[in-house]
Amino acid sequence: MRPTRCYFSLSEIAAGHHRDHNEWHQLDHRPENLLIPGIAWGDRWVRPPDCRALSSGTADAYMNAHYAIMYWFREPMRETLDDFFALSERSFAWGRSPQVGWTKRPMRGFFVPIKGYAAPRVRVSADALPFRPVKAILVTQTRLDHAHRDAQKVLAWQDEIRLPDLLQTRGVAGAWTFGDDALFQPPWEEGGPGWSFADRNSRSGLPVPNRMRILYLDEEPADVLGQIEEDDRARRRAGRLIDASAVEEVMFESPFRAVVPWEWDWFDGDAAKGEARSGR
Amino acid sequence: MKINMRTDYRIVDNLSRDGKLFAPLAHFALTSADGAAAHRAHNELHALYHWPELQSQPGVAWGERWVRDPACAAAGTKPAEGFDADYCAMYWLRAPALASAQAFEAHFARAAHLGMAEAPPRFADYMVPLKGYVRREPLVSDQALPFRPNKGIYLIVSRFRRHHDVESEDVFRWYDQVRIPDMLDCPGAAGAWTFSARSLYSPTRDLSQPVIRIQLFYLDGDPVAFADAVREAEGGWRKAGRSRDTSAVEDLLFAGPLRAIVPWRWSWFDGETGGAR
Repeated sequence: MRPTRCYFSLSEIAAGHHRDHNEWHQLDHRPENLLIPGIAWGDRWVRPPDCRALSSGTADAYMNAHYAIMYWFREPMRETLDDFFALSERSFAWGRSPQVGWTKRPMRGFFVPIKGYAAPRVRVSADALPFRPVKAILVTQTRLDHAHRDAQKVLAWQDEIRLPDLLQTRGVAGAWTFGDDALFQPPWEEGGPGWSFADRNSRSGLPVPNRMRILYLDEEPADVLGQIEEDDRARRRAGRLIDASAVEEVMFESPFRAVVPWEWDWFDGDAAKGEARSGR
Repeated sequence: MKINMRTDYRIVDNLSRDGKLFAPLAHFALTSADGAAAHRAHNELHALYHWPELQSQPGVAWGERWVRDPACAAAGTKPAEGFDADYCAMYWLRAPALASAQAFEAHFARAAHLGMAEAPPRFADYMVPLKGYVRREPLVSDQALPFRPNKGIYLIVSRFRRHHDVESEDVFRWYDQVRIPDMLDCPGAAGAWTFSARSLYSPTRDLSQPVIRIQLFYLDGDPVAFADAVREAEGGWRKAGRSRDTSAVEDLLFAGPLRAIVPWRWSWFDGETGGAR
């Protein structure tokens, strides 16, 4: 049974708390989440300075993010989300949510997986792709104007040309695309209360993407992005690139690296800087 | 491996009713490779193909694989004939156990049809999880422990020649009350799980047959250092009357540390030319 919903968030961690944060999430919170039967998979990636330098997009609020977190959920969704939110609540009550003291989440939301693409060389199915180890991912979050007359043309181009082309680039193992889950409400939904985040009000002013694409990379992210740029020159000449900017605004695009347990030193220098800034 | 539609699967499924146990069945495989190129191919196949495909199956709760690199091999006891493996792979299977095991087997059959068959493992079997133990420091529940990253494991595989008499029952109690808690007090331990043979959960079981039993210690310290600590502690346990000779009921087949595998860091056997075994 394929997962039908995903949770994705970007998080910013206060200087000096990265090791605490990684220890908490990787060694405490994620294992308890993975135990939940409806959670098919959960992963977290880091955005160290070298990845940050390769970022672009219009969502200024996202640009200080240090980590991305993603969970894939299986049906029955109501039970799964009950379990997911109950764990969050219970963790707080157990005194095992110390991240509240050092975490900001400029972006969080639920998405629906649209389609997976696996490069033939990696041999796994598209459904297995999110589980395959990566060296990095490239996240692209956009706001697509579904009412635009060219919206369908752009979406078809992405599916038929752009993504298959990207799979040809060295280091791209595959891709998944995601849509805003608000667009996928079944007409027979009884309208019962849905789960929402405790900080919903503080998020109301933040921009929210309605599309997301993740490229799964098994080479160094800078090398893959450079290779995409190089390959795109030939694709432009071949007429395989289009300007979709009138239809889709790129809010955030950034590579993130895989997190290896206990190897959490990307921001070690920031701790001293943070303490100096706060006058300690 | 042949899967039979038998009542023993219903019996193990009952273990996971009412949230008692997240996975009523576990599959263990001890595998090996010969030569540096074969090791790299073996790791690539498992980490980048088998693991993601299996982990995406709803019946697979969690899978993990560890390596017995040369330092780990030197730190463990000499394995019994047929148990001299380089890797241990284990998967926790959700209920319904039969369907999960069938899908698990079907994956390997499909892989063979895609040209990805490998030599049979040195040991492979389905086991029934018995009990989880977790130290205070990791905070997680015993059931979440397998999902928690580790730096390695300490694996003990035994063949119990006797398992349903007074002495064997006393040995089981000693492991539960004395030996496992003592090992968990050695530096680097996070917790442990024990597993018994699936054949014991069948109405057609033959209690005169030997069975395999597995103890798996999850480590968040260096696995070789943990093995050294266990060896050093043995004298103290003996003096304190906390050690015992269990050879009347069990044969030790494998006891030693294995290391967690980080994808693409597969250089442990790079010096090997193959043909040694």
